[in-house]
Amino acid sequence: MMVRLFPIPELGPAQEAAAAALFAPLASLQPSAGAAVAARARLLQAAAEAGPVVERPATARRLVFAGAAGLGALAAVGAVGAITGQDELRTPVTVIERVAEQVGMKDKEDTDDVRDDNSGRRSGDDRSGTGAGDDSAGDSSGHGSGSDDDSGGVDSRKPDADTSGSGASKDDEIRGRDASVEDAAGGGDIAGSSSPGTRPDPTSEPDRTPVPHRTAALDEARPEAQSTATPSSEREGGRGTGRPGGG
Amino acid sequence: MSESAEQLSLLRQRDAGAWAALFDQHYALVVRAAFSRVREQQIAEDIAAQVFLEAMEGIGRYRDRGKPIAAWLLTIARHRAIDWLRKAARERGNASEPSVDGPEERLTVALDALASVTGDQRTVIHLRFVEGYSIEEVAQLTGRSCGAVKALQHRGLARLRRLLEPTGVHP
Repeated sequence: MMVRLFPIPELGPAQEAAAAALFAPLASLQPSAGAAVAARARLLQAAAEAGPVVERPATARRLVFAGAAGLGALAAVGAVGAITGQDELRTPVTVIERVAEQVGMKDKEDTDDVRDDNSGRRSGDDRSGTGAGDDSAGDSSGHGSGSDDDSGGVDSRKPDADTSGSGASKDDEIRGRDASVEDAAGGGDIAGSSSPGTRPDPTSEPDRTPVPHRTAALDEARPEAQSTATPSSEREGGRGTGRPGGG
Repeated sequence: MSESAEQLSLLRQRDAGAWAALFDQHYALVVRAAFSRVREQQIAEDIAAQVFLEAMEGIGRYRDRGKPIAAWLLTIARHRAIDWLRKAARERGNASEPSVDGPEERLTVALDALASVTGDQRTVIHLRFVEGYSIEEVAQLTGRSCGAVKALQHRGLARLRRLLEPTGVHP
């Protein structure tokens, strides 16, 4: 029950009559008969031409709004990722890939492979280990330099192995060599798969330690390559014996 | 006053008889509502005809929320009258009220009085004293409570009294 603090006074008969008299000229206005007949005829003709209303479950406008809302949500997720400092493309790409899987546009395993491949390329520290592991498992995902290095070792590195890998530049050559050094030191199935005639004997280099970081190995190798400017075979030979305690 | 579900269903089916009945029932109301704004009877009649055509085309979008369909027609009429006033103001180069040709002076006073109150007060006063609806009917048409309608009527008439007092007219 509503209680009014300031009750509204009711209009008395005299006040109502005065107000009605004020608006009586407007109230007495009647539309012309001709205009009414014409408007009525037009209305009935339009009703006959239009037919009954057809109910539609979802209009194109609603679909457009729903699509815009979905894109807005994805943009918001990306913005949050950018603000928080995480990979701003990681979450939206994941969402898009899941949607693509749902509609059958993409295979889930392929998606995971591509994602692993991209993550391996992004993370530099894990690159050598991931590539060697994938190659030993028989995966041909594109990091072929590790497999070539494993089969050929340091000394028997084939010239075409560079082109089949991730590039033929000098940095890549040094990188592949470092990876083979890691494989030789780490052992496992990779060392077992290599031929003993082509791989140098680990016992001849007792202090040969695995290179902990590939970029660090590059930094070490570059001054040597620039200062000596010797052929590849000579550099590799000198490298094997030129290290402190080597030979 | 409120349309039944059966009548609304016939209107959705664009039944000629149902639309003819609706037209006969509310045409004069719509014409007067438009006339109170545009102040030209021929324009008001054209607007009223357009209102019914638009209502018939858009009856599929109409949602029955308990208000009579006359409220929907009056809303369309108000929008079309405002559109016409804006267009006329652009063509004349100013936004002043259109000149009064035919209506007599008392009608002009009534129209000026309606134009001087707020939109809600104008609607209530028009329905109450031009169309002759009761408080309950106006409340149903406008979707307000009876108390709100009484308050709007009271404030509107008080404002009219203050404005019309110098002219000697007492609403």
